[in-house]
Amino acid sequence: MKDFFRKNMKNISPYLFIAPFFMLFIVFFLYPIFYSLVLSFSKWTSGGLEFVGIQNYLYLLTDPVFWKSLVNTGQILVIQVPIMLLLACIVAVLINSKHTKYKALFRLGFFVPVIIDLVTYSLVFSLMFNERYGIINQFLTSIGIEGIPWFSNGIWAKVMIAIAMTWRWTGYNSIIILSGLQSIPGTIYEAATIDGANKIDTFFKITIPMLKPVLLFCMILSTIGTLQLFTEPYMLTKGGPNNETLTAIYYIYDRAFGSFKFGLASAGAYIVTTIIGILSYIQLKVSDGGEI
Amino acid sequence: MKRYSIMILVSLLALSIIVSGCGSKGASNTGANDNDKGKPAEISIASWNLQADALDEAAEKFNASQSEVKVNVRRVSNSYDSIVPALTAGIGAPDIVAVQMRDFANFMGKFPDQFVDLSDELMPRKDEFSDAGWGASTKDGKIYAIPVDIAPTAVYYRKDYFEEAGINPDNLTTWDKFMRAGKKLQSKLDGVKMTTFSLTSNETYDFWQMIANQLGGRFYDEQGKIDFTNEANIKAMKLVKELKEKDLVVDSPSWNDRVRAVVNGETATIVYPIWWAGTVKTQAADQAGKWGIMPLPAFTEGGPNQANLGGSVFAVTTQSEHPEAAWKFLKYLLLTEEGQKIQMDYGLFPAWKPFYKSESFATVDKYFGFSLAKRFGELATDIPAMKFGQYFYDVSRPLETAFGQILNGNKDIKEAFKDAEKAASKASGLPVSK
Repeated sequence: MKDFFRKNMKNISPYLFIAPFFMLFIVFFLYPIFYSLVLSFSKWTSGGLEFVGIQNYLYLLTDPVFWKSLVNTGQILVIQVPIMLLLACIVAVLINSKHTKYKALFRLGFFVPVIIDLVTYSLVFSLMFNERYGIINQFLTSIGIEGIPWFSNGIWAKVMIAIAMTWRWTGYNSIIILSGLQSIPGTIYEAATIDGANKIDTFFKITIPMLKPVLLFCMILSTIGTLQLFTEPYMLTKGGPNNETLTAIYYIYDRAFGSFKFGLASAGAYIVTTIIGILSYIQLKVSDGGEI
Repeated sequence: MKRYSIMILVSLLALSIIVSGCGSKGASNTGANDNDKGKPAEISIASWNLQADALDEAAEKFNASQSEVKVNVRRVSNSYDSIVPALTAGIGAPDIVAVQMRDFANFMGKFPDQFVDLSDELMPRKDEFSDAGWGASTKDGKIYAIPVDIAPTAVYYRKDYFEEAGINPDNLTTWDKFMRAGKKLQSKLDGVKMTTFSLTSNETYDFWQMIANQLGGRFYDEQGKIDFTNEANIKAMKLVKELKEKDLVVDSPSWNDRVRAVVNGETATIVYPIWWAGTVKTQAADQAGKWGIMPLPAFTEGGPNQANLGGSVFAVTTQSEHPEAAWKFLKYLLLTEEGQKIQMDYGLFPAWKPFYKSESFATVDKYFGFSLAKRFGELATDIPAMKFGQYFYDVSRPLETAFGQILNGNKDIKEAFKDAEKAASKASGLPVSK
């Protein structure tokens, strides 16, 4: 008995150590994932669940507002992510350059937006972009340009959200890219200068290709994050004007906490997850898994 | 052996962390024992903004006047963010919740077992409350909530601006006259527009609903089918469009923008119910005495000019461990003159009719210079009832989209409303009326 115990004790200890995390993981991750799968096939009232098959999914796929929210999210994604990643690359290269002094200060400055919580910064942005009193429009009118309809025009509203997101996440991505830059051997740059390449050439022909794995990582993360966009439209535009900035997750949130249709919202969540999964897979395939 | 004891320690630690997480459920039960020991039964009531301020004062007075019940006021948002999860999960809800009238039918539908049946107390007293207050509290013949306030609507106007422009408010008996006066005022006063409401956000809905209500507009027909394209609704929308086209409106997409327009003196009037008075008093304290109240202009001479926008109810949750204590507080708050006076002070117009005859009802408001209650009371006599139904949220969202399409996309009103009907029908499952 004692021998049996002693032999297996060595194997039990790792499991005991990860047990607490696993308990939390099961309760707060695994269980909700399965429960919402069940929910997505049911109709919910506080009395109980009623099985309705794929009714929720069909409703969503035939709802023009749901499609609009997907299109809006896609539009913001396609514009914001590439621009942000390019900016992040430039920022990272500039911080990394041997001519830059006070690197730590710049790293801090670009990263601080990431630490600020979403609600607070959205609130400040909504004040800054206020069409009549905001500082942005006041500045524009002072140099002779008419104030921009940030909230009442669909396209400008999307631009405003893209600006807000870029401000917030560029620093985060540039720090990741910065670490990627450290792994590029300096000898390649030396060889390039000997061959007569200028700064711009080196950036586009050496730096970016060598950063492929890091860029892929950032791109997938940004895609996942932007597809789940909610806080900025909720705080800034409430999905307006006319559902022009209604994103997929905002639509789902509305169904869940506005109409209390938890089954429908769960189905929506699964649809969005599937889309994210497909897009991530495509990105991985197209870039050969990030191999340089 | 040493490893053995470390193992035991670690597993005990892990277990204790998990068990402590489950333990909090038990803590809430200890409250029920306090009553037996003679300690006051603690109940919580949740509301927002001015209503919460009023409750703070009422709770203070109530707590001081007796020792069986202690009331705590919980501040929440008016979108029920912290209430809904509690009702969904079945734990953590306050004893009494404030719910806007237009949302309560939805709550009753989605949470059929979460609200205490108050029919025994309220059925015999049904006539003590204004008709406008009973829009949402009943289901299957039972009463689940007590009407708190109703929101009779009027036009707040700047007396000094009207004087400067030579306009007599008593003459503005129709919307046509109102619009002509608006043109006159704007030509004489720089930087001021006649009125303000949202032209570009989904909050246009509030202004439209007041006008539609005035005309007897509705969302459903007699059989409960969706009907947006009735004459009253369309006429109301036409007025909204006309006000915009005649450039008589300061665009105020959000609540804060409306407050700014008032505080900065950019608007000569604002159409809102009595609860706006509280906001004006606190935000534009330096404009005391400059604001007057006039009834809504009618569409034809002598036509209907009363409307309601808002109003709320209090419901006791079945999760409450002291429903009798909750009822005691509600009785003090809403069925006594003292309690209703506090509500009135904060600009909440009681749905309880006996208060209208009390002395406090006629007190002259220091900020406005006349009795707010009396003025609005005159405008609360014939408010047409408006049924919001269980699916109000699903029904109003398509309307908001339609307003945007009409005002900013130049879509035809009838067409936009028809499309909204289809979307509302899809979302709520109700058929569209022919």
